[in-house]
Amino acid sequence: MSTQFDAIIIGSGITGGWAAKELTQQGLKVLMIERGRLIEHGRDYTTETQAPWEMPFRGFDDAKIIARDYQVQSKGRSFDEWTRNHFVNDRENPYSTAPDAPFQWTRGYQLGGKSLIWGRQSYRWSDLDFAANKRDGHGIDWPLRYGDLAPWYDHVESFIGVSGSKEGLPQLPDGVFQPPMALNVVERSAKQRIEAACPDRKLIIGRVANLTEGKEGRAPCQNRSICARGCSYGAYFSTQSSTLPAARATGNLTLVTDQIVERINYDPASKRATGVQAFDAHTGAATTYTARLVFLCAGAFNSIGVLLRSASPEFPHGLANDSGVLGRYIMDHANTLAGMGPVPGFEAHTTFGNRPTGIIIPRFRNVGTSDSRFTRGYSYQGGAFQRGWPRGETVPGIGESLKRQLRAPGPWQFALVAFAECLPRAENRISLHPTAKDAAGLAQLHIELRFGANEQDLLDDAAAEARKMIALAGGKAELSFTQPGAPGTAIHEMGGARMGHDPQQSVLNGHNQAHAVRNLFVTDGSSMSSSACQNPSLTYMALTARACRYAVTELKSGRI
Amino acid sequence: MQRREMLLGTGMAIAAGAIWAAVRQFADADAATATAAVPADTLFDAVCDLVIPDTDTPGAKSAGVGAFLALALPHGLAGASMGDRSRLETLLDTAAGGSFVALPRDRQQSVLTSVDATAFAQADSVWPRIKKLILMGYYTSEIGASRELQYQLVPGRFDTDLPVKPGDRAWSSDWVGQGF
Repeated sequence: MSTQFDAIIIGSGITGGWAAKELTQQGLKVLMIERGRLIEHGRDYTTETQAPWEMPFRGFDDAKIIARDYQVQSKGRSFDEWTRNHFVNDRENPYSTAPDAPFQWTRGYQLGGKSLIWGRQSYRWSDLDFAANKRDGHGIDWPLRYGDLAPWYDHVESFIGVSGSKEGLPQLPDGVFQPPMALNVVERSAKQRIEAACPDRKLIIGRVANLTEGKEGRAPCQNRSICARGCSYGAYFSTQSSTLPAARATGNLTLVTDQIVERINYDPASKRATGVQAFDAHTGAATTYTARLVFLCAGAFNSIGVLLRSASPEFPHGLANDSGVLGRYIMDHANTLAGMGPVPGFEAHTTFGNRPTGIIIPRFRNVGTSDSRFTRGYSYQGGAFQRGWPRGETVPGIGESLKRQLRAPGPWQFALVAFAECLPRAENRISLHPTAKDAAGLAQLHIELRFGANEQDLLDDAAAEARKMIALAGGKAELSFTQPGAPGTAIHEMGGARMGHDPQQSVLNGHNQAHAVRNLFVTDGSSMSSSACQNPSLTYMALTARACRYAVTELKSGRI
Repeated sequence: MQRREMLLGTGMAIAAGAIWAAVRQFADADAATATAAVPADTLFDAVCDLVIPDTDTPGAKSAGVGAFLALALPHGLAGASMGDRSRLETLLDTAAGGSFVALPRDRQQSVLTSVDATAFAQADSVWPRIKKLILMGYYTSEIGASRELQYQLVPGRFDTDLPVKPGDRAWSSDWVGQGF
């Protein structure tokens, strides 16, 4: 196999797959390097159709294996006995945190990365978000605005397939949508009552990268809601279902798996990245790959790790880190169950099928108006559902009456989970641990991320408003939390190689191009300069596609 | 347990953190243990039959939930442990004033009913764990999931509002509902 390419992409997840599709379709010979194992679409979704009684531990998994190998992953969303093979082994992939600041780091080291297990919620950001840093002075100004990204959102949504409703909300721009999924009977009632009482709010169906109409060999969603096992229908966007087939079809893609990138090589004479140094995850055998262009898409925090590991005499604090901000200003949404409780009155109603999305209530704080208690805002995700048989676990009752009671559809519940914007702060930072190594012999990442007063103020308000809205919907919030889950819980970790106008204050320019290394592009979540309160993956994809177009133009013009 | 903590969303993950303490010891025989035939356990069979009896569908004893308990305890499901079997035996024998399993079924039923009525108010009772495991084992068995309840892996559609009719059975394949 040749080791010389036009472009090398590090990582095969949501952004790596997009870079592979875009760069190969524009004629470049591309190498995509994935650190984990090969997972082929369909063939390797080994647990997809298993019934609970066909699983060794009925889907609950072996608690001893969990305690030994998956202590972090098992606390995160979508992890279960069926999906465990799409998550990393925590014992083999340790990282470091401060004793007072645990970080919940969900990872998927395999072809497709976290695109196999993501929540699929797909939202545009608006200029309320891209202008936020400039407006209130937290962080540095984004070097782009919504108008720069809008055509790329169109491009991405058209290709991946996003179902959703057009709402005309300035804070949550409409996109190129497939027909929306439907609200259930309780959510329709809640929407009517909440919107009537609160004219500043909307309750809408989630915009989700699950198809409601087939496209390009992918079938529409079957309403199973077991996406993270892998979907042979290709009904949700993943690298495997979407970008990888497109990249392979060009004949321009070389894919290697089980290869860990140790560092990006840099040539001080030309001031260019020359390629990457990688080693085999099983044998340790080293390979040097060279290319004219390097796209770093290893996932936000691991991309920071690659750059920090790529220190050289010219960049002693990490590649492209002459500013000193590499690793700093990391963020995750502050996330909690703001309210949940029963909604009586719908006992005669039920549903059929498992819709793979909930509802959202988009941000309404500091939208057009100004709230003096805090800056920025939060949004909710949640929905109405009926409790299942576990409702019998915590109350007295045995025998025929218990069995009869649990046979019937359960009582309705309504839940609202808050996602609060996280301000960028320099002290929230990733560094390389000075001594501790992982199983591959690489320095462990040391992650320090603490939420601040503004995030807490947002969640306090979110819980109070969630209780009010659940009451408006006819329910009672029996649970309502203001304490955020550990940072990382939202799985929206981002920042660390932020974009900006000023090379002294940022790592990347407005095209995700390293200020100091012109043929190096970083297009995953590490490039974010603020966090907004929307799910960020769609924005990562749009940034990646836009950066690819720019990079190819620059390459062809001879500027890089 | 972690499956249900996760299903709705990240908010549910908060409670999950405290569930398991670190346990390093583990034998590679797990897969074998998971599928090996387990000798019948009279005590487990008795409580399974009392919690979910045979009616117009087979109950927990008939669905083999006793074997699930025998698997669940050594592997720590629902926070249980090997010692929970003897704790259960002691609890029930004490309540029965003698051997619980030696009692006729109607006496076992009244003993367990009184134990069950008070156990959930006690912090240290083994019974809530065992009862939880019985429900977990039954409603994820083929009988419990697909005959007592209904199971459909591929619904193919989402109906937003259907009338509930007398005798309707819940969907064991409603994964969100199985989290709560």
